[in-house]
Amino acid sequence: MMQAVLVGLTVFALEFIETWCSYPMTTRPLIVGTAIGIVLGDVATGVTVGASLELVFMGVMAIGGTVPPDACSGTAVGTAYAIILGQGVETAFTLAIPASILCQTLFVPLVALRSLWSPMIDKMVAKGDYKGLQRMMPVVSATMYVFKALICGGAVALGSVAVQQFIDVLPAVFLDGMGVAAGMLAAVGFALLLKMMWTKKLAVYFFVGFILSSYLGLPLMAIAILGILYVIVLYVESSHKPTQSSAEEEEELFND
Amino acid sequence: MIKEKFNLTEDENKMCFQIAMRSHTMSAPYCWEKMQALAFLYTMIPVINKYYPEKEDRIEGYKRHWELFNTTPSVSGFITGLVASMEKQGAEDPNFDKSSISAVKSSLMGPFAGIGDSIFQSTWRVISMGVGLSLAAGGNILGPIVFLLMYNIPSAFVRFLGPYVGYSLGAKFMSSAAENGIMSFITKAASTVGLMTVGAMTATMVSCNIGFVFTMGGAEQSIQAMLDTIFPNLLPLLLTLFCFKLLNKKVNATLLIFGLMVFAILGTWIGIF
Repeated sequence: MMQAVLVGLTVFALEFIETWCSYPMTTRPLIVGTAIGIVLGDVATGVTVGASLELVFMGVMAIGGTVPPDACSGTAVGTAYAIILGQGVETAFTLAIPASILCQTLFVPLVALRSLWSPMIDKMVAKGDYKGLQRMMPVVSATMYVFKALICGGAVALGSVAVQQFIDVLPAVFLDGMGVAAGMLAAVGFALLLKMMWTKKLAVYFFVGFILSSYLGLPLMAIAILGILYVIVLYVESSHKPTQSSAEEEEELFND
Repeated sequence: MIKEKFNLTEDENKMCFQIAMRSHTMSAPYCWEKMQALAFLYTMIPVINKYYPEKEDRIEGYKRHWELFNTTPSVSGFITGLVASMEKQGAEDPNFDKSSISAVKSSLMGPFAGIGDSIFQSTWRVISMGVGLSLAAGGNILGPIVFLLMYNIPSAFVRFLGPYVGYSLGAKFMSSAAENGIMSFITKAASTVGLMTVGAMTATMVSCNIGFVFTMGGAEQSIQAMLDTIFPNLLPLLLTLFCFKLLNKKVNATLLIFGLMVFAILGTWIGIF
């Protein structure tokens, strides 16, 4: 029970920091897993589970009003079970992914709950009650996190026994397969990222990065720095052309 | 120090600091119909109270900002700072058309979201996460710590300076930056670097190995070893591109995740992996 409360509180705190400090990335699986590991007393498992879930959810980011699987709650519940039941990454995976998708479906109505405050805010705006408006900030934002924390804590409190029984009946090949899936699912994460960045003209840079890493074995930072230097070269080159203004030139270079 | 750099008075410096602090909450009260409106209004309260002493003007000001707004929180400070400078102008100059404030807000939130998403949410997050993950192997807590520091130090810098830059450069500069292609250049440049790092991480972090072994001429041949000598990490690359293709065909990501899980379990059962 204590563990469930701790998980709920951790989720609440992480969500709160994330949205009140301009997304410092505290709800990424790597951080959520680590935080749950710290409060439940098994940091190494927390980091390991967080890191492997991060690969799956890497490309999952709420951009442009889309609702992605909720990586935060899935990781919190999955990591908590992995630690409480003393199981490995495969178990965390089996539980985290359904949990995150369940929370995704709950996300839309939970956020909609916030709109219930709108008439009250309208009145405050009309009256010029700015102190009231400032008080509404934490109320409106907490309206969602409270429920999310309750769901995560509740899942941990209610599920331990049932989840243990569920895992006991699973055949070994299922958990082995989940281990294989853990590595393969990262492909979905990267595919989602690609969907965000991919344009026909820029696609070649994906392969450049792949070759630099796969054949030449360069570390990630080296590739990132090479990329930045290359972009600077492009910029300098394009601003030296005398006939066109630099802006038009850049547009042409990078046109989709 | 910041005060001298941007040529601000003591008062303005204090206000910009307040805006910077309040802009951090931009996504906190996100709701479906007005999105970040409440947080924008919350950020503008000290500005409006400072420049408009009359209650009617204040109410009008609150109403102006209780309208749909949505951008990447990390770069929202540029817009809030800029809007503060316009509010100041509006309070001082009776001929100033206040509807231009809303127009500037809605015209800048798109380009800024584009630039913020591509630099911070995609590229820089992915690079720092890649470094963090490579350190996190074996449950090392250094991984998450390095990720948080590496992501947050540059982005906190931008988050905090945004309002100062927006306030002192003013509306003209920002709209011309949005129009003359500088912002779209930065967005594309970030995508270029982002694509390179995603390509690199596809090679190192997606794993897909064929465990199937056959005997030929008395020697055991592993398909995986053969593939590795010709084209290392070919399968992770193909798998990623295949997922990307399906996503582009509007296949739901959730469905794809479950599909891959089933595929992996079946593959393990048959003995391919």
